[in-house]
Amino acid sequence: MQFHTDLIDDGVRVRVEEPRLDAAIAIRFKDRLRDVAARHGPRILLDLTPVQFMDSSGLGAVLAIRRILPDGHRLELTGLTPNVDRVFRLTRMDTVFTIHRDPDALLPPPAPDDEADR
Amino acid sequence: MIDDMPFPDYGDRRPCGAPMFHRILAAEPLTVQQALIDLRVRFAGAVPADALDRMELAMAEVLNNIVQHGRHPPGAAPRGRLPPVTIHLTVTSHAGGLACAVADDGTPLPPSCLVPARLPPPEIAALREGGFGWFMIRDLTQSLFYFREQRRNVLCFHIPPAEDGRRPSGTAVVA
Repeated sequence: MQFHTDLIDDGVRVRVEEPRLDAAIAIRFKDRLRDVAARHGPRILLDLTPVQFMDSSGLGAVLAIRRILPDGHRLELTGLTPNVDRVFRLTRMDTVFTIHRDPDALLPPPAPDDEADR
Repeated sequence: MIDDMPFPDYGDRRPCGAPMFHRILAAEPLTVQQALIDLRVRFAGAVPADALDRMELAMAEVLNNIVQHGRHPPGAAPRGRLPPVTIHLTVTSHAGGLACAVADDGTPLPPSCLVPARLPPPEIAALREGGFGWFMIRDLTQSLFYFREQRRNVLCFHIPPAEDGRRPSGTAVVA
């Protein structure tokens, strides 16, 4: 279960570095994400760009985290690939999350020290 | 696990028709995951990518339900730790889409699973533990059909080539 976390202005961006968010991984995913959500916030931005497949177990894990977020925290989504988007759409769970359609637009502007070719 | 069989060597006379997939597997998360990955490989390029995506999702939900709820009937297995139930999985491609059949030797499927039902309002549904699996199966499939055959559950369904159930333009049934 691979995560990549970046601190952003008002919380943390969590990129799920897994091709499948399915029944075989859902419990580990939920445990890891719960730990991250407990340590960071208030915004937890879940970046699902690498996830090519998600089933109702994966969806259930995301919803479980949403239910147990500390007060004042919020879970937002970005990087939904077509198959992941389909699950949110079919179940209408796209209506309960803030979903950002352009993951790169959410990246903080690079700090001067990070600029390449200098 | 008995793996799916390669096509026999017909020499120049290839069997007509599209690829098929058959596998017998234990109802466990990792064997199910591998079957889904192999299914995708088997049909990649032979059916519309979107139909393959819908089949993978519907099949994942069907198989996960068996992993999660499939239990041997009382007396069907020796006492002690029971092995997982066994799944027979068959998918065939044809002009009208993908025909899928899933059999397992667990206890009967509760009839309520197949009854069309609406999800509660999203904010309520989001607070529940589950209930999305069968909802998605019913939404993604056509001709969803269940019967109990002796000691087996048999679930058959069909995945249309296009999401609205019509064939993609420019295709025709050749039978």
